Amino acid sequence: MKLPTLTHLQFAVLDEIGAAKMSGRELRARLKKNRRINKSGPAFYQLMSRLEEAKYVEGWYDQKIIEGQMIKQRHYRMLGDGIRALNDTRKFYEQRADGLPEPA
Amino acid sequence: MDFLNRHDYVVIMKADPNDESRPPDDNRERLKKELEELQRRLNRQARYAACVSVTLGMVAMLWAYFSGQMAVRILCTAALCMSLISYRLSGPPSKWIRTLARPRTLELLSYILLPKARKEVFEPRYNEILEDYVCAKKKFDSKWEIRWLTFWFCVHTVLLIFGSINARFWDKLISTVSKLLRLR
Repeated sequence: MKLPTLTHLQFAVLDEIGAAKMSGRELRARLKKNRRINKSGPAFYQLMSRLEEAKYVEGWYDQKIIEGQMIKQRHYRMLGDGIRALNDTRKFYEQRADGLPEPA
Repeated sequence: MDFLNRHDYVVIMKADPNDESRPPDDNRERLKKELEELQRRLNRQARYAACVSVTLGMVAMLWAYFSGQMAVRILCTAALCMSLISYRLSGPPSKWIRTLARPRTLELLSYILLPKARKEVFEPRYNEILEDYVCAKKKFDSKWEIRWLTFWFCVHTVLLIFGSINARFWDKLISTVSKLLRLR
């Protein structure tokens, strides 16, 4: 069986983004809350940069002004290649998990 | 040039014009020049001292960042920021030290990163920290509260710059090694 192209961390990130558009901060918070993945800021954004390089996600900046200070927020959404890779990886994990006993 | 004590100059320069013990005007001009020279000399010495201490601090922090524990990294960064801020508050009048402890200058420090790393790794997180800082400043507005917030904002920014270098370095290393393994 061919190994999936995504690492478990990339899989978790793409699965969490799903069909939504999400800010980096929100995505990090969700990963921490739902999956207990706690990455530091630079490490997380480096991971996202890699996903962008591979064309799995698209990232862009939104701007808002707080107290006269311009703040840029990075947002992400999944691209076609990302959905394909996510589905392939999910299939792989499902096939591998078929023979495993149910968790107690 | 034989220099007098700086305090003596200040006493002479501030002397009362009606005072008989006051030196005559030509002496006064000479003393003024000497005082300026002394001031320049002190500035130069202070600048060298600041350069050396900041460079040593940077080297220590880099070393600690790549080899030490998280607590050591935070301590080193805090020590460096404290030294910068203490210079700013009480120390030498060199202009670059005064400006170095400002958030704006620390943002400029991020330009040591490659453009792609800055845009995709540093800036998103920096803007999150900046947002927190701006919101906190709205809530806490006394002089010392703002100083405290600015201090920690500076610490986080410096940590973030090194964190970005670290994340980029390890990512590039891992991708290069995996490419090499795939080639074999």
